Amino acid sequence: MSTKESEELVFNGIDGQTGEYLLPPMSQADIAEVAKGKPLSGAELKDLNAKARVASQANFAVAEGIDANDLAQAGWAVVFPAAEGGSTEAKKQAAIREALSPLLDRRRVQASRNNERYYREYDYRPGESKQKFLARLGAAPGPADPKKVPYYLLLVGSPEDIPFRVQYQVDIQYAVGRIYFDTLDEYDTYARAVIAAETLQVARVRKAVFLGVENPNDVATRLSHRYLVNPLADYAERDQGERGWAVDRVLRNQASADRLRGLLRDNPPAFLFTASHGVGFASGSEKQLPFQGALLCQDWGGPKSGGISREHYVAGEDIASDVDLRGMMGFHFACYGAGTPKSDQFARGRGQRGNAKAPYDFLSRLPQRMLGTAGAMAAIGHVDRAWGTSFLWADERGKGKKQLAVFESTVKSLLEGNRIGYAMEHFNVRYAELASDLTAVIEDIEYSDEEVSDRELAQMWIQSNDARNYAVIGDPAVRLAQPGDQPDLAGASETPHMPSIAIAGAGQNRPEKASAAQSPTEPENRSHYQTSQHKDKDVEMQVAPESESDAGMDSYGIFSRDKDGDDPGLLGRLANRVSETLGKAIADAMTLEVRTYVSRDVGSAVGQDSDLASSDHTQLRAYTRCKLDGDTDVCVPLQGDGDQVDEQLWSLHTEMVKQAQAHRAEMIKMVLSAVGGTLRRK
Amino acid sequence: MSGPFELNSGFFPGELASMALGPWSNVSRSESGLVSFSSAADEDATVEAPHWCVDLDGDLSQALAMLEAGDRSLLDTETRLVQISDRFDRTIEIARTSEAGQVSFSSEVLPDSESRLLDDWNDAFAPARHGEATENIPRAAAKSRWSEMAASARSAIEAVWRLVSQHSWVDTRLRGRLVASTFMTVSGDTRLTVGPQLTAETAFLHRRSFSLAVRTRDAWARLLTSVLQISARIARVAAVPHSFVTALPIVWKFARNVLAEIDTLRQLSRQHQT
Repeated sequence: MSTKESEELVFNGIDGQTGEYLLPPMSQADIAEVAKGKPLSGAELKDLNAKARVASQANFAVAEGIDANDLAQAGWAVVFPAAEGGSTEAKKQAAIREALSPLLDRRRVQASRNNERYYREYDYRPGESKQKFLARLGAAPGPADPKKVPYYLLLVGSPEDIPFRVQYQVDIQYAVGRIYFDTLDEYDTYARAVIAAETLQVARVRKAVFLGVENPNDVATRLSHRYLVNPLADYAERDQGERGWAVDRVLRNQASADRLRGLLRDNPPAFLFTASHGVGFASGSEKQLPFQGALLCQDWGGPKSGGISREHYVAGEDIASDVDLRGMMGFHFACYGAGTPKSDQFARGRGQRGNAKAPYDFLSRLPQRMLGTAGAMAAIGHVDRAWGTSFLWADERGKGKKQLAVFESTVKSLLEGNRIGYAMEHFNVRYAELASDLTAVIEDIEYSDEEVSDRELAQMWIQSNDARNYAVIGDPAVRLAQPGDQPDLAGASETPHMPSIAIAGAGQNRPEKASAAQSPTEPENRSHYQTSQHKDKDVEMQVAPESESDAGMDSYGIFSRDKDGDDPGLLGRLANRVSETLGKAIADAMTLEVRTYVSRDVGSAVGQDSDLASSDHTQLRAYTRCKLDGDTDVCVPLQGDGDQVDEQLWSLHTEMVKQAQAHRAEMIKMVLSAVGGTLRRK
Repeated sequence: MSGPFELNSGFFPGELASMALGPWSNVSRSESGLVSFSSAADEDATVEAPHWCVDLDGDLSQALAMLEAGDRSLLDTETRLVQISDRFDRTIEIARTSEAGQVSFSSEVLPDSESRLLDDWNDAFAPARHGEATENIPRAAAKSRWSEMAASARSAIEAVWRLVSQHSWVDTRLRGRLVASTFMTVSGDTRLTVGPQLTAETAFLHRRSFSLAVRTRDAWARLLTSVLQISARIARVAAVPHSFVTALPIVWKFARNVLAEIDTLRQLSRQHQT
């Protein structure tokens, strides 16, 4: 957005068909009227005030004394849309849950290390407000208290099932992310990709790329290039250069669609920041679902150049199935970069074309493909339009001043390895402050007839909504790898687990797989699950017959189903069991214990699985416990009743410790090699 | 015991009985008489856990010689294990280039393991690539051969999996007398039990026995992961349905043949010496 001489506001967002701005410029008076008509509810305001109040505290995200980056302290939960038991929807949720199970298992281990209630699985009931949702879970307004509701919340569902509004509101006090994909295969890919990144099976170069478009004669991108991308890249270089981050700038004429496609295809950076227009289409257009929110690059000649062609923007379909973005995060400043709401708040009451933005709320295809197809960890984007007020603050004369603190703080936080949901707290605090200020101003206008200029009111309202609408697509607990990180193997038991749902069907994102599924070699009774935010009639979700599902027949993932119940399936299942077992061994290997007993009857100890009880015959004489992080407890044996170490026994014991450690290292190496090199599909 | 190094397990199919890694003789628990007569559930628990038994000579120098021989044997196995993946890849590359007409006119003869792999590979994968079949599980005679391989691979892989996924015991005996026993879980937790009169020699011998057993168990696990890795690699590049399960028996058979080369070489060596 920019302020022109005429006091009109120009918006980001270009109509993909006409090349015109999606929403014609509006006067500040119009915006101010909209703002006055949309005050916050009392409960929302209470939350926002509380958030703004505690924002000055050092740790504003969670209750005092809690390290928000430690899942064992902050907690983690997944939220599915509620479904009636036995219904088709319930089966769909169960299938999605199973596809995500490697990630859920990992988070369970990480979060429930100290308290099993710090890992939770919730449902969201249709129509619930944020307050009702949290109240049902036992949480009161205020900083997140993981004892009641974990701080990190991963929503798994379309914005039709779990509304954007609930996401925004819960995000005020919690770290919220969302995933929603068209196929179970994408859930599976995403879960594995996160684990691969967190267990350091993939290593991205510590490079941050800042891509800034400046289309000719276009005010919005001129501002974002000048006041957002360029200075933000400078800041990152200055602040993070010594921490090993290389910063690349891809600006103006370099910021072509081909260049961006290349960045996403060949050697992608660990962190990619883009600022551009997002492409929009009229509600119901057949191009809207696949292309809305696509990143419009330098190729477009600006608002006076006429229409936009497909070559001008980078969309979800540009992420090919062999692209590998694991370990990467994206931040895309663009209209609809994360999603599109059904209705347009900014044009309300003006009879604008944008009143109904889409037939229903939906996520943008680009981040979906980045995560579900290419395995990126997360993408930050904007739901609805993005505004220049994100980085420009109008002074009392209405002149824009650069204000980058929120972006700088967020980028710094991400590059330094904070979890993305926590890093986004800077935006949440900004929203809380702006929204509560705005509501106070509106109350002043209503109750005390205080004079507030339209410009000020419009500015505050836009800023507030703009700050609110940033959303994380992905698990809010992911983080960029840092030098010195050790492979976090918690819950990696399921890492090599093959996808247990056979995915196929008419997924529009993966035509190559659809054709394979339809080959005559596929079993006729194969279960096809297709989740989709498409509402078209020709996209159906087929649910496996109850008996088949119950029998666990669809549990061998990429090993495919045997056609006639013969060898291939058994082999595949066996391979899955092997990989599961090896993986579980890793989880068990977090702590290593070696005990040495002396017994007058050595034979009596043979065959006993459990620890030996000390008795007249058998005594525990030496003990060592080593954790993977290096913590070690040792009990040394003494000779008889004296205070001399029993060197003989101690020497043997320490040798056994060494061998046990060597075995553990070898086992971990083997499993990681299997998982990282081969058993994963990328 | 059939030799100084014996691995007792409740589940050694014929396929594995003759496929020992390192110095160990594989003995099915039922053969060794260590069967349980308890209920089925209990039997599962007692029968399966493998028992690595080392029975050494009472004379220290003899015992050391036994352990040295065991070490050398295991080293041979470990060396072969490392080769499996590369040798497999090289052979498959030959199969691919031959198909493309890039045949070599050299007179070099492929080792037996590689020749057999080429046959199996062509049976299984060539028809699909040539469009002669819609699925890559071979037909008729080839399918029959493949089915036999698959059955054999299945039972063998299952046995190896049971071996490496169970805790195990390692016993050291001196002329049949148990002097030390170690229990170890899959993840490495260890419980050692020794007699009260532990001598430096006994401690040393058990340490070496234990090391041999653990290294051998790791070798089995490495064999298993190698076979899975190679098969999955094929699955990714083959891009045809069922490629993983089709490849698995072929890879298993190849690995088995490569390891069996050790015995062949030993026999040749013995013949040469005599």
